[in-house]
Amino acid sequence: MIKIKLRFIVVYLILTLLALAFLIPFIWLVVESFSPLNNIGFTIPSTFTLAPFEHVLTNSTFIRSIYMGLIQSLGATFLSIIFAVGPAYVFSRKSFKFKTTLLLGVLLLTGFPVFSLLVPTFIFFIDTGLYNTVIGVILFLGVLNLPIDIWIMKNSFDQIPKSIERASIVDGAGTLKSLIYIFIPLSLPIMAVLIILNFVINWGNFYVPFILLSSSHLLPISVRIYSFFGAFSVRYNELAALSIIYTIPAVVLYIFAQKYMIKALSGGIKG
Amino acid sequence: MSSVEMKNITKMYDKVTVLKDLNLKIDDQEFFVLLGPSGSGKSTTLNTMAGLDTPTSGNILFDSEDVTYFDPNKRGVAMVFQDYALYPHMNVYKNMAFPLKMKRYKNDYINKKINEVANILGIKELLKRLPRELSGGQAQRVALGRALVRDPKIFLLDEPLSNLDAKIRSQIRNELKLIHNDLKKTFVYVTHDQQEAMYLGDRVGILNDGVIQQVGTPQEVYSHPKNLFVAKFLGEPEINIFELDKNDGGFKIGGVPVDGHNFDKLNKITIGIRPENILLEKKSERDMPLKIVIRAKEFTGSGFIIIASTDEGKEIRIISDQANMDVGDLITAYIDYEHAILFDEQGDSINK
Repeated sequence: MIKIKLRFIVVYLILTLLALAFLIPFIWLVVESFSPLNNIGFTIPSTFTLAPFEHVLTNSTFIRSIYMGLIQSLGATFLSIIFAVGPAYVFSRKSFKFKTTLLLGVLLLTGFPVFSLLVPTFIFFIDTGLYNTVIGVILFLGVLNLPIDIWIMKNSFDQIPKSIERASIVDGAGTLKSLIYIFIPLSLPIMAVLIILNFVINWGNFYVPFILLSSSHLLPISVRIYSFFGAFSVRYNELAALSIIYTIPAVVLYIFAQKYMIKALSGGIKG
Repeated sequence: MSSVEMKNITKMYDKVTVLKDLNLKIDDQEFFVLLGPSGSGKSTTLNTMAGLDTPTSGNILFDSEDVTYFDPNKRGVAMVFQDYALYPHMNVYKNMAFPLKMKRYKNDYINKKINEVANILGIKELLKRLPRELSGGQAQRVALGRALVRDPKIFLLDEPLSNLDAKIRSQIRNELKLIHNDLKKTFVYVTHDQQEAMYLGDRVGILNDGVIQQVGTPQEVYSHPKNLFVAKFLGEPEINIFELDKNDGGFKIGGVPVDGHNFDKLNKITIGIRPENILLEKKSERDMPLKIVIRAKEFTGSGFIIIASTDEGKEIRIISDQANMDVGDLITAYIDYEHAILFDEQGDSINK
């Protein structure tokens, strides 16, 4: 009995310490974001203030960077989801020459260090006038996530019973209608998960907009946060406030899609 | 109004031939059952009729119109699947409305039609439920309803009752027969269950290894099977088979000669006799006696199945309404010559 109890205590002690290690930066971030500027480091501030948030949220540069971040991340997310549906359907339902080879190619691309393509892309974008445009960033981010989206969506389509597809075809739906009325609705849980994953990846992407954009009014929040580390001093409280704002969209999306996430991760589609 | 004709249909997947030069003619308003063991190609046959598969060669005619390369939605067929294939994200109403929506019917008409069919099938109170909230029997009724709302020319049913339990199965089987009588439409029904086939079919086509073995009314195929496969596949318990070698220039069982046309050319024949045609009392001089030992007796409700073995150790089954014998008794039973079915060495049936 005592042995078991001791083990229990030790396990929980370790887990608690681990949890603290993860939580401390967050707590510090929250505390810092409500502190006046003179409070530097991990200390309890003399007063709490909303000034950092106020300053960040009234600063048009920051507001614009949030807006840019949303446009670029959401744009790229929808781009890759929309362009993933077709290939996913074809890979899942049609048979053609070199299908396995192509599919393995897609799988390889999901793990490919795409950032290594940034330099040729940079030059290509300059040549084609896509450099320093929102569309350029959306295109690159969208393509970045396309392979994994195709792969996951294909697996989701694979789970839809063949007889359901056949029923829809006999019922008078062609390929497109069957895709719209049967495949996509049945894959909504997976799509919700994909939207979140894509969004979070795009929202957090620093390199792509950093390299493909130069005008400061186009920079998204991920790049803008970096600009706090300026030449003279760092405004830690405002940095913290903006960082918290930076996490909000992802958290909100998670909450909205929780229902679908659970469904998608715990069994998928049932007939 | 629709007849179906399959002309020289061959279907290959890669290098495997699933259907071999299949010819079939299904009449208008007929309830036609395709019967065969799994892997015999019966579902493939149905899928080629539906347009879900294209034959490698051959033609399919609906009312003498060649539809071989028509899309499924241009063929005017409705299909019911073994696993119901209801759309999981739509409720019953929307499931039934789907084929009509695809044809761009007006909502008023869709509503009227669904209510009409729901009344016939007794699923009116299920209309708002999702497929996962239905029992197997209910789900298959809905699937049937989804086919019925369309007023198709031809109904294709792919083992629709196989996933149901016995009681519901016989109930829906009855309903199916009545629906067919009311609608007067062409039904093509695929099954591996010979009893279902004989109960439902106006005619039955028996398929094995992608080849049609025999087509005929249930009585025909049961009483006059064209070959051993058909004889063995139909009937429960299975037909009793006796293989005879030529002896002294003829074939004999228990000293009684078995003869027929051109038997002198054959070296071997096979006699098939249905369990109900083995008699416990001699009926005619040509009936062949069998000395058997009773092994077991099974009560079936309307009679008995007697399991016995001959003195050569062969197990036979007899259906009889009397069973005034006990396990272990030695008795003589008789093969009813009139009902015996004879096959040559290749397993094809021969005339007596």
